[in-house]
This record gives sequence, structure tokens and C-alpha cells, in this order.
Amino acid sequence: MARVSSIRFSDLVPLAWSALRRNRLRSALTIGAIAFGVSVMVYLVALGVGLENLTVGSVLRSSTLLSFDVTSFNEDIQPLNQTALAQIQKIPGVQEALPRLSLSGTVSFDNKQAPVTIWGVDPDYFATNDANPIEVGEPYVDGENDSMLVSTSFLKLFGLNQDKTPLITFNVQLDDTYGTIPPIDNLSVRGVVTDDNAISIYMPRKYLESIITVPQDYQDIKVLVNNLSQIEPTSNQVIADGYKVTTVVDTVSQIKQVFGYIQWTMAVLGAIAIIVASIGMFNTLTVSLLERTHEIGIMKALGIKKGDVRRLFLAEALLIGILGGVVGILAALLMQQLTIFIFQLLAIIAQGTVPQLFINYWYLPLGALIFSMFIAMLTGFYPASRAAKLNPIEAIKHE
Amino acid sequence: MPSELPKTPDALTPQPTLTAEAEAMLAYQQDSQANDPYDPLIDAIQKELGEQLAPSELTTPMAQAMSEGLGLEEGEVFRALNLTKAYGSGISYLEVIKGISFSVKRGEYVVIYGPSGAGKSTLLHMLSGLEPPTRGEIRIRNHAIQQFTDDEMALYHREEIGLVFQNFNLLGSLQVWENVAFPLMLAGAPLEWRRHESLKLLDRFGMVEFATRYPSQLSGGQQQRVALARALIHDPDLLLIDEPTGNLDTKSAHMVIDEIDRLHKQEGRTIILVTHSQEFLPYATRIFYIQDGTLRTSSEQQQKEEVSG
Repeated sequence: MARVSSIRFSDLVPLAWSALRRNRLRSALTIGAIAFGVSVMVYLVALGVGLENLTVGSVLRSSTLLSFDVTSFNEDIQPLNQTALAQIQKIPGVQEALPRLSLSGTVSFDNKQAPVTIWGVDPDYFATNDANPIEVGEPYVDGENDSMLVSTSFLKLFGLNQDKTPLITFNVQLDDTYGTIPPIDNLSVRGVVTDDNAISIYMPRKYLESIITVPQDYQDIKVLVNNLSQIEPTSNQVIADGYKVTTVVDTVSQIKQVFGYIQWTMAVLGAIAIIVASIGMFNTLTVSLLERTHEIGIMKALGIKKGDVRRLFLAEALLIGILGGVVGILAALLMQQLTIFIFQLLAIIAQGTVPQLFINYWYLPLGALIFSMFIAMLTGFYPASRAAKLNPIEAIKHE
Repeated sequence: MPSELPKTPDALTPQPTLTAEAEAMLAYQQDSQANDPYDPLIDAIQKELGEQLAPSELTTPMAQAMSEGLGLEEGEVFRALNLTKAYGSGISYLEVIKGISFSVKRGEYVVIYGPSGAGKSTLLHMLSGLEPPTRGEIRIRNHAIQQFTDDEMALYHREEIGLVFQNFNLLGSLQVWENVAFPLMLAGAPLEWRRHESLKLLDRFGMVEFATRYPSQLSGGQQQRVALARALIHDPDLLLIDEPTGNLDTKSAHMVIDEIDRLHKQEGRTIILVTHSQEFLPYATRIFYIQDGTLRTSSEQQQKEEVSG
């Protein structure tokens, strides 16, 4: 027997639509519930992506991608000393290796004394993005052994003003753990480094190394390379030599991983909202089936195919899913704009700027729409098969 | 070659050879068993008499039809065979239709007339394939409808029969013309064609001016005419009509009665109509009286009336 023709798709959709229109309030509430779930999902995930982007962006701004930090796994076995520095400098691709020597000592000025951290760094170190920025003045040059840079908190400690510092000199006494070292007198301040957290001074590394009698390992070594492609082979070589390497790329991927989890959590929250809404939709479709039992009976008497009855109900479910999805996406975008607007008002009061809080990748709303359509189909499946299986005579008698 | 061959059991005990007579009998038995279901009683009688019985004289309409190879006669479009509908089981077992058999020829106007609760609607529902019979068979143009697949049943409703119900059963959410065109929509016909066909029919029923109204905006008689138009939209061979004037006032009822008569006389439609109203009887070419689930011929009914009268 030839295939029995079905209702056209162009007739199926208006039929499903007219069924939805029959009880407008109920349909609107059902669609609204689905829309709520979709909007929660889109809003939260876009927020997650936005926050991730902000965090990653700030990490990328704070350091250069063309560098990595080398530390030691174990100071006793593989100390980060001058031998290690020389070894790292020889690795092909290494443009520059900038070690940091961390010493402690006492700074005195005008009968005041304070313990400080004394950083021994090369002049080029201040040019790296990891270094605290120089607020006033400039870095020392190699061999300039009578000057130093100080942190802003150092100045605060001694009750000094940035403008007067060039005129003042300090005396520095290194701790005796580094050997018997005479005090370094009359150190002038070459510049001020922005750092409100640590009382510290910066001095030329090579000079400090020349005066201490007990050699010290470096805190870390910053390795600079020429281009991004050299990061991986160079850092791999350093790792092969037995050192620990931290690259920005690692940090970024860690942040992304954490935000990945956060975004999934938010998506799951939205999905739960959609699933809860789908229970309401199941109810709507079931009630709609009861109300239309008589009508389905007539359709069966007039020769509708079982499959077409099923398609009709699935079309109705799908329509709810699509409308709920579209309305939900629009609501989410609206809510995002509203949030941004509120933050902008707050920013005006606080005199700040509003960062980009939300990022809607094209696949996010699309995914939410497909998800809501999928849930709708799943929900519609049972009422649809029940409708298809209705006994025509009992259905016609049903009022 | 070795002088002594190992002897097979066949060689030792020769096979009994059948006489030509016995062979013919065996062939006949096999043949008759292939056609008719095996009957142990007939078998026992045959053994007792020691001779083969002639094929049994078939008495029931069902059996008669089977003996005729289920073919429909010339001009016959529709046949019900031993149609039975029962509900429940055990103590609550109730036969609503009790073995009804009849056939309808092309162009006939058959009225099945009887009191309420006689099983008229159940009978019509079975004929329309909406309700399966408990036993028996319904054949339209030599196809048993209870063996139809879902698709074939859909086609039966779409192409072979037109159904008209007592309470019109129009779809309230659709306009009049959409209601009339609905069977065409189910069959996937394009919109323009549907509109054209439906307006053509509505015009014939004098209802074209109401085409864009909704059923709730029409009177009962108008609604029933729309229902008639809907039943005719696919030009069916057979109209099955259930109590068409049951919900109508006298004037509307007469309009509908005339309309159905016109469909029979002018358009030559084959009609099976069930009703408890005597108003249709003068128009019918054949009348069945149905009572307690059994059919009586029109003459029997007349006799009955004469006796009681």
C-alpha cells in the first residue's frame, strides 16, 4: 500500500498554535516558566564567562606572556644559585634571566631604625611587568652601588614625603647571617616603587652578591624569551634541568578551569530551573490533552493518522519550548542590560568604571534554546503518545 | 562387487503401497483440511460410517460468506457478517449487538431504525471502524476493515466513508470552511485547494456566506449541513449517518432530511443511516429494524406493528 500522506508542516504549526491560544493564560504561564529557566541559565553563564574574562585579562595585563618564573623544588638538592643562573642563561631561546635575591637587614635614618626586606635585582627587572611600577624616579644602573629604590610603605614608615626623598640618605646594615658585613652608609634614594604592602628596598644584585660572604640562593629567576613559541621549549628545558617553572599560560589555564566549573554550576542551576518548569509544562500538556480529547476523537473519525496526533502534540510542546527559549534569552539580555545600568549608576557615585560583566558567546543562547526545545520534546512525548492511543469513540463521547 | 550388501530396514520390510482409492481420499482429506478448520466431530462421524462425508451444508451467514470465498456480489459495496459487540465478561457480560449480518449495494439508502439503546450507534461505530467488533467481520469492497493497519484505517476514513454525527462534532476552534476542509488537511492537501473545494461544497449547501464564521455562531441545522459538507469533501462512496436530526428542531430537521434525500437521489450516494425517528423511513430503499442488538427486516417490523396496533 502506498504511504498514507500526513498533515503538512505548514498546517501542523498553526494547529498547535491555535491549541496554545485557546487557554492563553495557562500557555503564557507555561511559556513564562520555561523562559525563566532559560533566562537564569543564560544570565548566569554569561556572567561567569564575563568574570572569567575579567580575571584572565587582569592576569595577562599584570605580566608578560613572554616570560616565566623559575623556582627550586628543593633548595638543598637543587639550589637556585649562580651556577643555576649560568645554566639557565645558556639554554637556547633565553633572552635574559633576571634573578631576585631576597635579603633582610636594618635601615636607619635620623635615629630611626626598621627591619626591611632588601631585594637584589638587576636594573632590567624593573622593566618586567611583574615588577611593581616605579612611581617616582628611575631604576639604578649596574655599578651604581650607592643608590637604591624604596617602596611606598617604606617611605610611610619613616614618615617621609616622595618629594623630599632624593635629599635623604640611609644607612643599611645586612643581617649577620650573610657574614660579617660593614654597614652600607649614605645610600641615596633613586626612585620609589609602588608597594603599599611590603617595607622593602631594591639594590643592585651584583653589588649585594659581592659584599655578602655567605652565598645566598635566589628567591626566583624570571626568564625572558623573544617570542611566544619559545616559551614551551625553553621552559621544558628548564624543567628538564630540575627546576620548577610557572608560566602565565599555566595561571590562565588554572583560572579558566576554575571558571569552567563555575560556569557549569551556573548552567546546571539554569537547567534545574528549566526542568522544574518542564513539570509545569507536562501538566499543561496533560490538561490540554484532556480538554481536547473530544476533538482528537473527531480528528480520528475524520482520518487523522496516529503519528499525526503524536506530531500535533509534539509540535505544541516544541512551540512552548521555542517560545520559552526565545523569551528567556531576550529576558536574560534585558536583565544583563539592567544589571550593567545599575552598576553604571553605582560607578558614577563611586567614580569608577564598569567592566564588561557579561559575555554572550553565540553558542550560549543557542545552546539554551536547543536545551529548552529538547526538554520540551521530552516532556511532550508521554502526552503525545497518550493522545495517539486514545480510543476514538470514547474520545468523541468525552465532553 | 561384494556379494552381500548390508540390508537396510526398508529392504527388509517393504513399504505398504496405497490403493488409488485411499490415495484419493487422503488427498481429499488434506485438501478439505486446508480449506476448513479441522472438526473432531465430523472426523469421528466419518470414522463411524467408514466413509467420507460431503462438505457440510453451511447455514450461518458467516459460514455462507466463507463458502463463497468472501467475495462481494455484483454492486455490493458493503457487508457486515455476523457482527457481534459485547462488553464485560463473566456475570457482567453483555451483548449489545448480537450477530448482525447484512449487505448494502451501491446507491442504496439503508435506514437502520430502532428505539434508543437498541445498539444503533454501536453498530454504526463498528461500521465506521471506530469501534472494533467482538466477533464478525465488516467488508468494504472486499477488504476486512478490522484487519486494517492504522494507515489503512486513516485512508478508510479519509476516502471510503463520510461520517455524520448526531451532535455535529465540528471543531470549535476552526472556521466553517476550515471544518469542511479538515479531512483534506489531514490528507496533506494544499491550502488553496482545500479552500476551493470547501467553498464549492458550502455553496452547494447554501452555506457559503457562513464560511468564515465559527460553528458556535451557527444554528443546529446549519451546523449539521456543515457536517454533511465535511462528510462529502473527499467524495466518499459511502455515507454513515448517525441520528442526524436528533439535536434539531422540526424545521431544521426537515431541511437535513431533504438534504440527505437529495444526496441519495440526485448524487446517487450510498447511505447507511441509523435513527429512532420515523421521518426517514419514507425515503429509505431498505429499512432494518433493530431491537436488542438484532436486526429484523422491514416486513417483520410491519407485522409486529400490525399485531400490536
